[in-house]
Amino acid sequence: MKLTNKIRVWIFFIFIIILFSQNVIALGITPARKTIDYKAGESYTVEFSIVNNKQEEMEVAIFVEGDLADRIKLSESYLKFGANENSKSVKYSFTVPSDLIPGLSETRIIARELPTSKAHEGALVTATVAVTHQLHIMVPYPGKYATIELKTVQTGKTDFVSFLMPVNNFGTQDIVSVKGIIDIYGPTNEKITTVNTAEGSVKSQERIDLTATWTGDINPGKYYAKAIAIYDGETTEEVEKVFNVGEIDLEILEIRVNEDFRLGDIAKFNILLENKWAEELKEVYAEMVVYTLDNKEVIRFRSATEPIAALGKQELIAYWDTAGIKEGEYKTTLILHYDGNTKEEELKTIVSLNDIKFSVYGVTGQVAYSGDSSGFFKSESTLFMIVLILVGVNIFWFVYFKKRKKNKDSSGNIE
Amino acid sequence: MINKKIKWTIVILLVLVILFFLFQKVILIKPRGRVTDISPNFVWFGNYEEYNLLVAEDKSFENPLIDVVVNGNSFESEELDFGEYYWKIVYSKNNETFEVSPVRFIVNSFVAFSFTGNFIRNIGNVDSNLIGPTGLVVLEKNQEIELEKGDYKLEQR
Repeated sequence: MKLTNKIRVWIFFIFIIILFSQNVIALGITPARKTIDYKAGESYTVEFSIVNNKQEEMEVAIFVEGDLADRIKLSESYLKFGANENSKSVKYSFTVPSDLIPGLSETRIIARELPTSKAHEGALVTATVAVTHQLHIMVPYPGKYATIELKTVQTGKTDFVSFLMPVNNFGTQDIVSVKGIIDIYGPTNEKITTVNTAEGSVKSQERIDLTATWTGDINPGKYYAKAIAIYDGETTEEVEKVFNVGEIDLEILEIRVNEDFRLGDIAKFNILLENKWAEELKEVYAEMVVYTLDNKEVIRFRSATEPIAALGKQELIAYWDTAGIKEGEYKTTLILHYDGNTKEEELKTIVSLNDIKFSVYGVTGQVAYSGDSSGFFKSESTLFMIVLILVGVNIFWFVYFKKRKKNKDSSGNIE
Repeated sequence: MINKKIKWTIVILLVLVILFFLFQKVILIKPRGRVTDISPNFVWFGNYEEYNLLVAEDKSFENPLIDVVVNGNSFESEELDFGEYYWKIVYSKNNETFEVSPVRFIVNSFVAFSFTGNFIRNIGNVDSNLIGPTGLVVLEKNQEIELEKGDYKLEQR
């Protein structure tokens, strides 16, 4: 028996040793990419950081590959991290040559951890990973050449969506006229509408921001847009963008109890919900917590899980065994769980011999909570101000009266 | 002794006056400088009902990427592209509109991994290309895969 225990202890220690010898390495680089405009003869100095996430001693070699490999001057080609050093900066400088080929010129500055006696202890195979900082230079194409991006403006509004389309002219000639076309698709890939940006012009090596607005009857949901720009008879490559309008929301339309309900029986609730989000909610269920008026929990029960179609309605069924429940008023918290989110609603609950009725006190969902916290912050600030002013006034009066008393005492002594 | 107390009183009152004026101001707290959080949380200090938060790629704020009215003192943005931004707060006091000087911040890409045993995990803020002896694999954010023996390079996709 004793021998078995010893073996167990040994196995445990061996397991622990193996676990800790699975050496965790963590290395990072930021920014991972630097893009500069092409200006032949221009000199640049760029800084990036190498991050030692593991916070252990580490040695790193830095080297350069790519188009400008022989022109890049590194401030460091070797770094030694102490255990408490989280990151170190490295600079490099270069002059842009005039003989680069049109298009994207890429140079990579690579940081690789040097193997130490400790570095790969316990690793089952030997694999080393380096991280790369990319230097991108966009060398202009002969003629006209435009690329676009597509961005949505965060406005918090749900009745319109604003788009921003930066157009970069990477050609050697100016673009006289450029216009963006944005096709908008719904969650099921159906095309909803097309919006056009205003027209503009953009000089060689410069950028213009075109704007467009999608207005109309927009349901909250996830959408995606495909965009191109047409410039002086040419067309850019297509770009795509997924964007949200509004926030996921579920509305409680009705809560019904079975018509033949009698107090003491099992009550069947039909909870009718409406999905206000233009995308299917895959896992929705309701949890009901019933409290007495003095906040003692009576019962907690939940419905089955159901999906609700985009902008659709769905009934959830839940059961409450009312055996031992007395007639009267209760409070119910209805918690809706949907795709990892929750929404709560407080319900006034009246239980009678042959019915259970719910009515809304007021919504206490996430929005209300966040509003409370900001209100608290504001009232705290005001309160802090008032307290400070009162403290100041009191100190002033205290010193003033003490001085007056002392003056009186000293004048009395003279007399 | 009394003189000392008077001096202290004056100092305290001055601090109070400064605090009073600070409470009238809006101070932009974060983000500032270089950040790697692609959905930055904008935080400011102020004691007003409503703020207009503006974020743009240039100081002119001609085409803002965020233009929202916020009732609290913070706003968590959706994902921003990597690059340089400016942000400011516009607020109203006694029917007059004021704005705070813009603050610059840069959202930087971050390529990083953790390596446990034979498993590599992308812990950066961007999908990355993992280039190794057998070719190129796209390693999405937080994705973990097992590695074969060899030398690899991880770079922004």
